[in-house]
Amino acid sequence: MGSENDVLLDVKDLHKAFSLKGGGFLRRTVGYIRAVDGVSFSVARGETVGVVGESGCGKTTLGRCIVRIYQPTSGEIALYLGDRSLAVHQLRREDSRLFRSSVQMIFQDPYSSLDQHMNILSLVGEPLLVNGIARGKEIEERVAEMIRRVGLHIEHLRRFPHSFSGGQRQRISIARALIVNPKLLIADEPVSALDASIQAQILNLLIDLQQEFNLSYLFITHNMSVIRYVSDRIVVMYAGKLVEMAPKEVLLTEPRHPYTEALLSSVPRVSRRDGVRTVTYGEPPDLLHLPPGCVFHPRCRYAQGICKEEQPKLRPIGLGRFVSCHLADDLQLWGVQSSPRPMSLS
Amino acid sequence: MSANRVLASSRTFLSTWIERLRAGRKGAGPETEGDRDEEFYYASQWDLMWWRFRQHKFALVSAALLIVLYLVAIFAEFIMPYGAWDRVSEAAQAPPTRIHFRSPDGALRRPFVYRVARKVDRATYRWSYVESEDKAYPIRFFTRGRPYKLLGLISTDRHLFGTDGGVGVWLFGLDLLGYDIFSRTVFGARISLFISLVGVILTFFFGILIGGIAGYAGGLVDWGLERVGELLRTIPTLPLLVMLSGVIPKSWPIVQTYFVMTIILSFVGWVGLARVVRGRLLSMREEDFALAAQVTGCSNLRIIFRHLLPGFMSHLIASLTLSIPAMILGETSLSYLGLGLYRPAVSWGVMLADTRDIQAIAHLPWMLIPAVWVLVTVLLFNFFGDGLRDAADPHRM
Amino acid sequence: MDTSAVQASQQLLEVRDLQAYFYLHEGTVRAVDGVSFDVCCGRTLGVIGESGCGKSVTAQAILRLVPEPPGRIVGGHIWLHPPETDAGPGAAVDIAALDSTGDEIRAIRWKEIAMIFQEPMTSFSPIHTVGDQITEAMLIHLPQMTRQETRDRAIELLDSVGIPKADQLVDAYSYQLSGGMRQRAMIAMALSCGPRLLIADEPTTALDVTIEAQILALLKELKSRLQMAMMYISHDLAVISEVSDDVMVMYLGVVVETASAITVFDRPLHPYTQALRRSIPTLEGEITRLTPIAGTLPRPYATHAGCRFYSRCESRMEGECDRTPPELIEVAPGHKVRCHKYVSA
Repeated sequence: MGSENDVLLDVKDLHKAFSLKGGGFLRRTVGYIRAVDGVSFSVARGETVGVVGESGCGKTTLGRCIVRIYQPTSGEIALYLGDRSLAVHQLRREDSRLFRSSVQMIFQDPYSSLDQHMNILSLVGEPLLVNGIARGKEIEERVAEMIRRVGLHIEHLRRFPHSFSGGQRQRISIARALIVNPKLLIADEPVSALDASIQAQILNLLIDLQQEFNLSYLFITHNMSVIRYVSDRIVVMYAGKLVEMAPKEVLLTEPRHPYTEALLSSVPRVSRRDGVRTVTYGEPPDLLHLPPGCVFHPRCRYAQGICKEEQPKLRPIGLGRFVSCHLADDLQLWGVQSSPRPMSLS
Repeated sequence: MSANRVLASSRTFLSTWIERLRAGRKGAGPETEGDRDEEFYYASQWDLMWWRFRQHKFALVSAALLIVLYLVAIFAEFIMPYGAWDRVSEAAQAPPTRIHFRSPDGALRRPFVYRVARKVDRATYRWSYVESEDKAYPIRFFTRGRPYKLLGLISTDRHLFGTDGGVGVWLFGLDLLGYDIFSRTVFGARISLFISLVGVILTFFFGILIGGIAGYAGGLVDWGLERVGELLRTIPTLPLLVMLSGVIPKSWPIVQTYFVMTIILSFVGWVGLARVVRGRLLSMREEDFALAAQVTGCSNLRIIFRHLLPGFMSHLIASLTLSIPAMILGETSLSYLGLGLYRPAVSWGVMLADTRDIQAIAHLPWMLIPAVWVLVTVLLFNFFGDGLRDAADPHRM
Repeated sequence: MDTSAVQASQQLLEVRDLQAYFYLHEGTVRAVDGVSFDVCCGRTLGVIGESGCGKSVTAQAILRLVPEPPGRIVGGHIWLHPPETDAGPGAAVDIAALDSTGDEIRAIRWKEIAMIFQEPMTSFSPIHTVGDQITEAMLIHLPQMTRQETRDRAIELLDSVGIPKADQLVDAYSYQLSGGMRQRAMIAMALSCGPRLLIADEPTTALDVTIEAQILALLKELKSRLQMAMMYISHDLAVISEVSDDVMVMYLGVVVETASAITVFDRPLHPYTQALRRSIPTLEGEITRLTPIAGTLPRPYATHAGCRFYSRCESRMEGECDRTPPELIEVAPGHKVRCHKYVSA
């Protein structure tokens, strides 16, 4: 995994809870949604960490905490830049510009993530303007350069977003994010809203740009196949918790958490046509009323008594592997490319 | 600038616009497929809005007529044959002057009028007016009349039309005291058309400012401003105006009084607009492009003004255009009731205040003509505003 | 390819040269432009295509749900074959020729052919209970059942689609159910009158992957138990491969390839199908660099002189592919391709 010096982003025990307010004049708080509940991981330079999970798992909230759209409830986010380290969770005003030109984000929906009233030049040039990196003619030159790098043409500079397709809009978003030369890019489901044939274009573009700029990616998605294609390491989240983290191939072939196994088994695959799969029943829990003990235990086929009582902690279980399960040491789980076993229902 | 040059440039100006309108008849944008693509790609939001607006014939015509109306108000003194306070006592209550196109022998001639003389009915003491057909006075254009300053700058005494020899051409007749209704209608248009505009612009300004702050800041600031707004809304308008008209010193010029009242009214009236602005901002600031602007490093102020506001500026303009009629009707009603403007100020409402007397309307029905103008203006603004609103957002909201 | 099974299965739906166009202000969109296929009893036809290929419009056209202005079925036939009775095969009905607001199509909707949609939230009325909506269809199409009987059947249906506590949830509103539950309720609603064909328009696209697995398993189980034919529309190749018996690949309003599922995924012939397979990341096998399909989709109003895939095809032959549109030809039993490459074969 590399020495300490290679770490770019370090997230320690991050919590983000949203308070749910009731009605009435004073709008008292009636409950908390623990969107992110104690997540710790790190991202090294030039690495892609994929964050995968289903709806409600907190991956989007995690990404937004890192770019400071949300303020974390507790925990630390540290960004290591050369000789400096920024405390993102308590960013000082004078560090704001440095932060914004080091960490950027691209969003899922290409149709709502670009301001309809600005032309491409203004859109992609805005980060330079707002962060005081360039002005006037220089902005135009840099934007033209960036636009070409992402696969568009100079004539597109004065056009408006409505004249571009979904895939092209994502390219524009990527250009906007990368024009400040960031070190870390948070990609929140960047290809999920695109057609299958366009997804490959954008994924390849992201991979190429990563090599060219030595970027680190935090790649958030629910699609396991996409994660496999782009990531070096994978983080699996469920109901706000980090349940497993491991290098990609190891996680996919030998998962150590039952939820990872369930995820891998649920993904439809072209090569498998005989209905051989483990179907996991139940649904992700209501974040307002989490089950006691391990959040996954109501759906877990291996759950034991301890799982209902005690929350498991994230612990190391091998080289670069972490898992949050009481029974991880004893379970033999099935991953990808293992021989299939007959259909069974839990 | 010579008259010829003025004519020539206005001719080219008009022809370009006619050309554009004609193009609009076939559909949005230019002709060929390739051209259309290109134009479409480079079209900003405002271009697209204009293209959509072009397809509303009613709205286009209304817009043109409104421009004419405003021009009439600006050049009022030129269009009025007589001064707003010129009394013709000997012809007071005269009906609208008949314009003749045929001479007594039946031949077509240039439009002309006759001098009228009053006749008093011995029995009812009512006045009526008889034309003395001895001399025909043709209507001429660009006649000399009462001197004035065009646009407040150029001294001249030319009026759009009139007669030589000072024979009255009273298109809308004379009122109870002998004032020319047509002239006063034209002059009164100024108050109605411009003060309502000022009121609306003020509301616009306050509404955006306060709604913007509430919508973007959220939290306690939003809560506080909401409560202030609710308080202001509980103040009833009519009593407020009555109180204001009592409080403002009588020594002030009337129009100034009214101006101040308008300002105060819009200060109270911003609440509705602010709530709309706030609501839209609250929903828009969670949209991806607003978040992206935040991640880019834009300040809150920049996000509001550069990213969020343009999004519904078109709606705002449309809804404000639609609220101008309310202000016009407001002034008219208030002045009619005697609570707004009053003599010697001239506005449509003041003129209509004279019609409170049923006897007056029965004998001088032409005194109601200003009401027709109010109606026409309100309708035009409604059509125009509808067209704007449809062009601004044909699908959502 | 089990040809005997196909021949033995009776044809349920026979679509020939279906054309559905949309007449818009900006131009005419030829959403479905000459599509022909069969759906046989008890088999699942998977329809793959990306946005703009016309798969949803095809499904809507079968039930005459295409909004009549601006859309219109311009040509073709949709033959619905009645079930085999002892008296022999009855007369087929051409759905395309029916009045879209008439009684005949209403008798077909839900009773013969039912549909489930992608977004379950918007498919349910927010002010009626789930049970009410399920029984509504039954009350219309099965007048011999009493109210109580329809309610009992609704509970039975909800239970059979895996909704727990069906007797209580039958009185729930759609917003009280989770996404997966809503989709199950929609399936229950679709099955209420016992249709012979179920059209599923991207039913799992909006669901989490574990829930998607549940729904796919449910659909498979229902299909085999009820001997129902299914037409499953999706842009997800993997889902289609798991669910379908036969597969139809659509691109820009025409069918470019159709064959059994095994054939399409093991030996695809059309350049589009091949390119699609190469451009999608997989969970197994070697990780090779994805080859995206070059170019972008043409504008919907564009007309094509030759093959519609010409602008993006790697195997295009200039002079032929851009001049004449290829025909759909059977190159092997049950395997049809629309491509000039295979014409001589």
